[in-house]
Amino acid sequence: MLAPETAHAKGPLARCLAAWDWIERIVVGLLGAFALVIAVLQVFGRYIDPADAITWAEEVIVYVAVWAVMIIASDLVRTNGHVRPDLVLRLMGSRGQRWVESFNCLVALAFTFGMVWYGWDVVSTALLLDQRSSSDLQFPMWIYYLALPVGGGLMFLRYCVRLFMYVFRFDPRIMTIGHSISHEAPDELTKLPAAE
Amino acid sequence: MWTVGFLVMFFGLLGAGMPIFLVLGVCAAVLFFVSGQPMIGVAQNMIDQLNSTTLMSLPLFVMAAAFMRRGGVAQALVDLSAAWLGGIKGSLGLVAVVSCALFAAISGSSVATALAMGTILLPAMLERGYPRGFALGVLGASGTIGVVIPPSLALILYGIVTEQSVPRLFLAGILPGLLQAGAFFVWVLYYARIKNFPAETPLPFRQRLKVTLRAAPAMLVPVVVLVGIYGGFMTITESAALAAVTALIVSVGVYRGFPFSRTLEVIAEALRSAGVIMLIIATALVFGHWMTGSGIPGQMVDFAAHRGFATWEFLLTINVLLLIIGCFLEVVSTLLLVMPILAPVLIPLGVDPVHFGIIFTHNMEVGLVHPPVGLNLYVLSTISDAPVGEVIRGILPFLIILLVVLGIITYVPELTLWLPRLVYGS
Repeated sequence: MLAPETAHAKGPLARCLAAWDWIERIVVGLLGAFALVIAVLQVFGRYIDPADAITWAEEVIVYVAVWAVMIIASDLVRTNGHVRPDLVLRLMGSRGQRWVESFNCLVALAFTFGMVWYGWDVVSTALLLDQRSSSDLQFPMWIYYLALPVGGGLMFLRYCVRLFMYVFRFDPRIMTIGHSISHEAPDELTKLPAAE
Repeated sequence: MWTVGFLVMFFGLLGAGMPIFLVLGVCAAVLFFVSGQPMIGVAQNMIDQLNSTTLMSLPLFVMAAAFMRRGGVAQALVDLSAAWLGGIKGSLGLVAVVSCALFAAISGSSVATALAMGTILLPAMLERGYPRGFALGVLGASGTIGVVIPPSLALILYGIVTEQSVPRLFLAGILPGLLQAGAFFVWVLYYARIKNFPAETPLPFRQRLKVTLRAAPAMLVPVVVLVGIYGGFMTITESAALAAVTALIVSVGVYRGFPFSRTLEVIAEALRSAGVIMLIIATALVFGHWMTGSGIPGQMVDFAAHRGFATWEFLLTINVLLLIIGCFLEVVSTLLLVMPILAPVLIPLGVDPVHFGIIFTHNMEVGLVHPPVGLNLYVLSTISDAPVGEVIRGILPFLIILLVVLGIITYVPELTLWLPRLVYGS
């Protein structure tokens, strides 16, 4: 199944959505690369120059990776990448799928809204109490906690677009389940040449 | 009444095709609400559960696998196996088994292994006159070795959910993984002899050495992981990061599978795969947190003890249950749905959690090649254009072998526990 939200988007809207996708991927790529670099610095630093070696790499990797995951979660909504059992959906006609998918979007909107609302409560409590990590780094925890409402907010927006597409721009040819195989490697699969 | 309502909601949402992270998250939120706990607890728990350095090895290992998959490593491993097994009848089938086991030790993912090896070996096997069903069967089944041979993503997750040592689990997976690969190897050897499959021309010794040297950098990744962890030089997360960096250097510098400029793109793609799993983990652990606090696992143990449930009966029941669940869900989802409920009951019922981890992951391997939703079946069907039915027929003998190996792993705990006990003591 194609990404529903890009199915009909044209003009400036399409450009905005494409820019949104691009920024998300670049930010996530940079966060991942940063995690790799600091891990390597810590390991080699420990053996080469123990006095000046950093000791907080693992802690920071957690913060960086969780931020990256929360950001990319929205891209997963867009591309239908969140893993789900779709056996029952496959048995339904396009009309049935449309209703069930719209219902799923509504539940997802409620949950992601909760992520934003209560996630923000967690952030503001950490700010109020000036919570810091118990390591030498004394990292302000609100920065880490902020990943939750931000991730929830981005997913909320994507689910809004998705719901809009299912309700007002439904196209059964591309928005119902066909033969999607795996969240692990859908891109490669579609590019592979078939064997003789 | 509440239990029935909860089960209806849980299976209803799953049946509606809702993403697993949402199903678990919504159920956890409803449970928190119903039991009168503040809703901020769900959010706080979600973000706190992700704050685990062991968990962070997962996205880093996924990055290593993504670099290797894009980096042309699969071809080097196939060449290596072919160089040494060329003279034997059915050698390409044997090459499939051995290269899948090697690639599994690098990538940690079954679908990635089946995909990487399938695209290279399937056309080669068909060209040499192997029946398509057999070729698909051997590739699909050998791909599953990735689930249990370290560094296995499933075992890292299992370690996090059940609070077991991941290095210990990795060690425990080695012998069962080798047993499985050995069983496949013997079957292919036997079948090739009966069906008179062709042998390849053996390479001269000098040529073999050359091919081996070319494949050597690919083998650096498992070496970094194993020496780093068991030599006590690095934590598991650091070794995962080093594995990813080594994989990047090898893929870009040695095999030139992709240009360095595309590194960020490959990292983002890897984090995308890891993100799917980590979001489920966050909500599954909140669900597990509620489950532990609810006293339901304790009631399950009481029930089992009251009925005089023996350990072997428990294992048999769970294996059958997991095989059924494995028909509908893939490895990670099953693990994260089931283990928060099962983890607290293992020790009271006399089951070693490390042993159970290997039983569990092996069981999930069976699910990968089991109709109707075994992922490897669909991967191979897609890359070969063969109907899924043909893949299933080809995989059937291997499925039987997998079930026999599952029985051995379940009822011979020494096979799993000998190596970790040797290294870490009991």
